[in-house]
Amino acid sequence: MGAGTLAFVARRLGQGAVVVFAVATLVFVLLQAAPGDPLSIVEERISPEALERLRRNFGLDRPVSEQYVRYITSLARGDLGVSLTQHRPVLDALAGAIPNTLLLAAAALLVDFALGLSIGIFQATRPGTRTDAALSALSITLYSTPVFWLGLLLAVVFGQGLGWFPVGGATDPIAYASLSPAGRVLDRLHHLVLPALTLGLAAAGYTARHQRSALLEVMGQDFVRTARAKGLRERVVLLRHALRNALLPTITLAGLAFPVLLSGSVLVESVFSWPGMGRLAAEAIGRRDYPLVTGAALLAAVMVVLGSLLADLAARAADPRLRRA
Amino acid sequence: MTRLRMGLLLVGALVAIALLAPLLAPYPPAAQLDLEALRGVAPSWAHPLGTDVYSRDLFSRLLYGARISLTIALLAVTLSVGVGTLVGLGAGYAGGVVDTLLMRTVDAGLAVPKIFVALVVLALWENVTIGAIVAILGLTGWFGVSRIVRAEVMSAKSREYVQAARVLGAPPWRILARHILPNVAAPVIVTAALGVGQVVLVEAGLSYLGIGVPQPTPSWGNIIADGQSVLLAAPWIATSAGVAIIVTVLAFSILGDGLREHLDPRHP
Amino acid sequence: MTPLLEVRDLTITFPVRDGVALAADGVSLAIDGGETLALVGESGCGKTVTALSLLRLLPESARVSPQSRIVFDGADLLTLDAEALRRVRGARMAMVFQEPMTSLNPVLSIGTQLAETVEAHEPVRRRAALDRAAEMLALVGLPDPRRVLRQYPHELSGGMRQRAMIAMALICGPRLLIADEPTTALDVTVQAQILELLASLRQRLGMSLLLITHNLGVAAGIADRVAVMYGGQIVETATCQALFAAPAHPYTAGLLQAAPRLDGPARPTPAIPGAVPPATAWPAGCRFHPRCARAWDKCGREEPPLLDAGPARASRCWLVADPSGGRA
Repeated sequence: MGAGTLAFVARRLGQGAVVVFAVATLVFVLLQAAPGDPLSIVEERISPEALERLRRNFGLDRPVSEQYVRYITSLARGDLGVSLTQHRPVLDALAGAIPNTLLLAAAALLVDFALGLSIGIFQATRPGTRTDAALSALSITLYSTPVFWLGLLLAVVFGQGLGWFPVGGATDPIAYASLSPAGRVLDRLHHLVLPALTLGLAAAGYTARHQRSALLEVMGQDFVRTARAKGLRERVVLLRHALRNALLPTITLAGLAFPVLLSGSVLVESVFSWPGMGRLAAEAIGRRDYPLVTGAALLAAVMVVLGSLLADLAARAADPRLRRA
Repeated sequence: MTRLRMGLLLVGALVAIALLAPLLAPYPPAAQLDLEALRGVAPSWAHPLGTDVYSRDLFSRLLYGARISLTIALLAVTLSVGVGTLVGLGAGYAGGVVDTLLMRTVDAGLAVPKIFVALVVLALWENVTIGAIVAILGLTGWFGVSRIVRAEVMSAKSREYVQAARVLGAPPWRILARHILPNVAAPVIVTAALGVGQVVLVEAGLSYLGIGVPQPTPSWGNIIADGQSVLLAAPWIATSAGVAIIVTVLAFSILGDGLREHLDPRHP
Repeated sequence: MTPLLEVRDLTITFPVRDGVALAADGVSLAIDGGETLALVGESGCGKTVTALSLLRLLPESARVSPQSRIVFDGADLLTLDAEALRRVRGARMAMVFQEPMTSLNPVLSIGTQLAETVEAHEPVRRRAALDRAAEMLALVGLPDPRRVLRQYPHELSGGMRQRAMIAMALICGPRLLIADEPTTALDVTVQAQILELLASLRQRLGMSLLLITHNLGVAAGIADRVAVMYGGQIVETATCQALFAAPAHPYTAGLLQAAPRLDGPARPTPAIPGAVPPATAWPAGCRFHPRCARAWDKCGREEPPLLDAGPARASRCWLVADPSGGRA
């Protein structure tokens, strides 16, 4: 972690801030462009005085440019507005859900890499065989499968059918409170399996395909031939030389996967009643709680920016050529 | 059979089905046929794929669902390709501030997961029309295309024959049309074919959540939602729609791969 | 004295898009201990294929004919099992490749790449291996070896990379080093340094050197003997002096004439007319005859074998048997 890396992080965070700022601006434009008075969307009936107070609070009686400045500055302070249905700051409303979404995304990424890498590598060591072709067909089918449908399938087979895993929520609603700390962790993991598997499987298909071609390409390169010419064991050639280089594009791929992963998590959270940000946002739609929804969207953008920064850092760690910049 | 041929065949069959749905479907898709006797009936001769919980013929709904989902996807991708190409051409050709501005917009666009954009828009606008869905999907899908086009423009700009054309006074649109677009066509077509599959998946997701194609208009996504509550009792509802989606996305993936092999031998 | 390496009747084919390419046809050569043999020829003549086949580094699709023999230090390398072959590679016979940038792993440090060679063949600890690596880097003339150990290939210049590759190849003290166009990818000024390095290392370490090159000048500088290849075959072998003094094959003569020279008035350098035919369709009879100024009808009908052309000389040309060349 040298000065170069710190400068890189600083630069990327700056760029990320610009991106989030641009997203916020876009959201603001949409808010302004939407038909009707934002407050008239609120289902609850409130008195005209309270409505007027709200109007002034939200600054809706001021010119657009002033509203924009207020909007951006409050975002910068971390104020995402007030949820119209929960009557508390959006950030509070989402705070409990964010860790759940992050947990799901991280677990899915783990499944994605564990499965995708092993399948891709396995294929690359025996290209052109029937196993290879079969696995390719499996991969392409996996990432053609709608993730929510896959979730339903897994839920029915392994949840309701075989009863191996629970199909709803992140914890057991009844028993959790009385479990020991270790028991609680296990309960959480137990609930995590099916949603993470669902989200990860679809991504794994793509990763496998990508990894297979990356590894095949690397195996044909000169330095792999040099490694063999030096008399290294085949396993060393494969792992230390071929694979280490073939993993580089996959790490970059991981950075690009976050938006897709978060999109998928909205659907998976709905299928499995997982108490994450996505599910809250989807439910809020029905009640027209737009501050909550836009807050969730902005947080999602922040997560994507941070996630791709992490992926880029991992890429830098793995590839010394990137550290030149 | 090459990938390209298989892809073309499958996609062609799907498009044919979508176009011929009104002729092929034995019943109107929204018709609730016999509320008592035909609720959730298993596949039979009269109803090849059974009926759903609202006594509607599933086969007909699937056919019309193909029509709807494919239409949305194809229109959305056309929109994406159009916008993306324009932005890419503009950014690449203009360079400088315009380029930076547009590319930061692309970065921002790529940072927000698509479904969240749809959620935001749908939270603000109450009506969900098919047109709105096409617009949302189309306007969130152009970023990749714009990058490809821009890259091609940038590399073409430095090539000698383009510089010569500029010096000779050829107007920008002619340079773009004759020298740059042909090179751009191949990767864009591949991206477009693969993109159709992606849009079908996103639209299905939105419809499943209840914020996509509105009932009773059938979309494969909302058919799956319908089938969810009776998944054990009437599995054919959700299963058939799911399989339909898989086959469709697969078809376009195969087509995309086949096109890539055929048009761009450098990238197998 | 039995030669260190003896190649007999090496024949290699590849399936290609429009047929089967005969890349090496009955190639036979021998290298004694402590000797430098240069294998010379234009691109497409089969010299690189021959070199790669010695350590069995050819791609999967290559087919080596069953009558081929590669006898190194008494053992036929073509019949060795995988583990025995692995023990030969790098430790007793080593290879240096043309492109040092792509032939080194970009994500591993130079030190790691040298040390792992030692660790693969000898029971040493990492620290001892790195010490050996530093010694070797000093031996090949790299300044500040300890620093180079920690560096990555992209941080070195072309010449330094090639020196590192040579160090890597020699670190286990092989008896034979194969250098495939070691200087082609380098600047002219660096080329001479690398060749000098190879020559001096060969002497100091008492090993043999098989130098593959298309450049006769390179061969002239350090080779004891030269073998010229064309069309997948050896067409002439001779000691270096004898070859350059009086070539015994029209192709060699053509190569010598085509080399630009500075020791006389400037004159146009005559190129050998025609082009190298594809390996899928070598001409009948002598493979060089369509481009040869001295060919006569026999050359197109019968393929000449390697004929004895004097002490330690051979030439695959009917002129050796019949110097008047059908003109009588």
